[in-house]
Amino acid sequence: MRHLLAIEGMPRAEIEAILSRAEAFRDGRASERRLSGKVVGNLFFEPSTRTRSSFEIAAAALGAHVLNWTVAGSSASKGESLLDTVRNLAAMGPAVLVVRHPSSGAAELVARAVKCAVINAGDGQHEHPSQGLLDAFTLRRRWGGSLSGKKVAIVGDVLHSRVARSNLYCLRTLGAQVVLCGPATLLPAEVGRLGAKVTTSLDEAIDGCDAVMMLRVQRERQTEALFPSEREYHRRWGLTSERAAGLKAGALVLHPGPVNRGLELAPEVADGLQSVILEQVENGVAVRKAILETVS
Amino acid sequence: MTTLVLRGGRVIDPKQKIDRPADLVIREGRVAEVIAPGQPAGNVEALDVKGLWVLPGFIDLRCVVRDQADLQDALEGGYTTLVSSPDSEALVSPHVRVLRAGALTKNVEGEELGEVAADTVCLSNGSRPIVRGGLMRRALQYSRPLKIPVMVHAEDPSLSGRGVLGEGFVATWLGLPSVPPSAEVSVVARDLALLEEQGGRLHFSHLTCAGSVRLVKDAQARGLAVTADATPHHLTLTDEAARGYAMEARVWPPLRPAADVAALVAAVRDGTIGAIASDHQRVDPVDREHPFDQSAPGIESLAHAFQRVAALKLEPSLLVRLFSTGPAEILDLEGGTLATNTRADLTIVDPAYARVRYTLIGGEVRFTGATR
Repeated sequence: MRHLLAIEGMPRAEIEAILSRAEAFRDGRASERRLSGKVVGNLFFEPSTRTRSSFEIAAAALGAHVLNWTVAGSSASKGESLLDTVRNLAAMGPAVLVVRHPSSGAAELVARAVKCAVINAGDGQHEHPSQGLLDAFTLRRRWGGSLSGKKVAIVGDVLHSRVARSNLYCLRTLGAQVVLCGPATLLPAEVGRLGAKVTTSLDEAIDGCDAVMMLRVQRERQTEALFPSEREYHRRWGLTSERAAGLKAGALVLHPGPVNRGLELAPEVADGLQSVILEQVENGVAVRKAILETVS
Repeated sequence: MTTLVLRGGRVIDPKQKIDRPADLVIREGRVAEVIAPGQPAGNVEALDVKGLWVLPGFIDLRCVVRDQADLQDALEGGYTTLVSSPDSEALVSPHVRVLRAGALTKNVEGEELGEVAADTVCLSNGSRPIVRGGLMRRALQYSRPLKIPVMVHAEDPSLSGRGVLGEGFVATWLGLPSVPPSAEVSVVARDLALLEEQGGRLHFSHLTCAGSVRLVKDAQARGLAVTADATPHHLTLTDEAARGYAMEARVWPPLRPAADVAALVAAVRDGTIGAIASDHQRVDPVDREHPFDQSAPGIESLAHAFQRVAALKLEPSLLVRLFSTGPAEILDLEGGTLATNTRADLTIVDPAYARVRYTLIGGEVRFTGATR
């Protein structure tokens, strides 16, 4: 695997190889510094705390030198094109570029322009493959190694969510069923054709679910109000304590973070026993080590 | 000026209902007569056009031209007359006839009516929408006695938003902001209501939606003075062209799903859409070094418009209507026919490859294409 640009189209064996390698890192069975002496460039055109830090920690643990390059605002507004920026950075000889950008397709564009490996750390509303992998990893670990036959609901701002798309592809490839749920204004046209059941009713979506993945409401992506109020959103699409109590026994609650407390999730659910939110963050480092090692 | 006879071609002129093997005689830069093949035409220069189609020169209703390279593309594409959008550079060519669409609003800002120069052939706001219905109503009122059409780019920006691809599965799959059909159709409906109320002449540029052509067809059936064009790319590419974020698909208005494209092609066949407009707009390569949604929209279409549309396998006479006769009628221009005494602006194409072989302007060969 030369780049990691999208989960869509990735063979199951490739996904499983990354997850198995991540298990080894997670359990302390692997500690090779395979990126020793190499440079990993973090190129972020959008603010990010956990994804960037997670890649940075993973790269450092593998012995790489990490270069952080944060571009405030879009490159276009500064008059420099994305490819200009990237060619400059690539000239410094990194082994891997980790790219986040507000536009869909940005990582693919970068990958075509440089010789080094490119990891998509989120491109617009398209994909966020490392998040998809770490979520699948978290579920797999909790479920004794298999996602087969499990039902997962992905709830919220599906329209703007790259996390939803990467998770959908990853979970389906690993044998799970996916239900997408959100306000009709946040479900893009014909989204069911991506391979999921679609509903606007949260109670219907979470009925019999083995896991509920709550998406972050992307306030910064919404150019106008796509639902009447946060109170109403929480009432209809938020995982309240009452709804969480009604989940199937042992069902898990995930969120890619950062959580808008009281909006997608009631605070007591975010911090409750069903929540694996911190595990996701913890697992993220192991999964990103496996990704970095695989592409470099 | 010399006399020239085009020998051995198939002369097609739907306006005069001519479609037969014939020779065409040009005198003093004008069409003199269409004669039987091989008939003596006196001691004149001859151009062998055996196996080629001899057509009235192509007329483009909408393009953005910036420099002579665009005009060279036009000649290569067989265009003899261009109507340049108000956001074009004012170009003069010794060869191609460049007409200007007048700015419908001052600086195409969409706020106040623009001044109308005496030689204006139509009014247009370029690719910028007229948001306020009241302004559009006044534009139709004001232009009615001038007898020139108002060309409309139908778009409601509150519906198109940041969209870059027609709404549908492909946009969802690629995660690209999308444009619902209503962004176009609702403005078509509004402007047709204004036309019905105010009279005048309305022309819709680059239609893309099934809903739009349905409304236009209905309005034409009711006798309203409305015409429409489509572009070569909207007739031949679906939203699938954006797969892999291919820049070929970064056009405005955006590409749409197959059902819309099929409706456009049907409207071309049944005459609802009476012209092809190239919508040519060259994009600086630097403006394409960004992701799809941040790259500038545009497509270089003048040089290959005929080839693209010919792939639809339309009747030859319909092709001539779409590229020449139709546009001439819509703007009431000289041309679009090979009638005696018309300016000898001719496009000669090789039907085997759908390529332009010669472009003649005022009886002079201004472009010669490769034989294959």
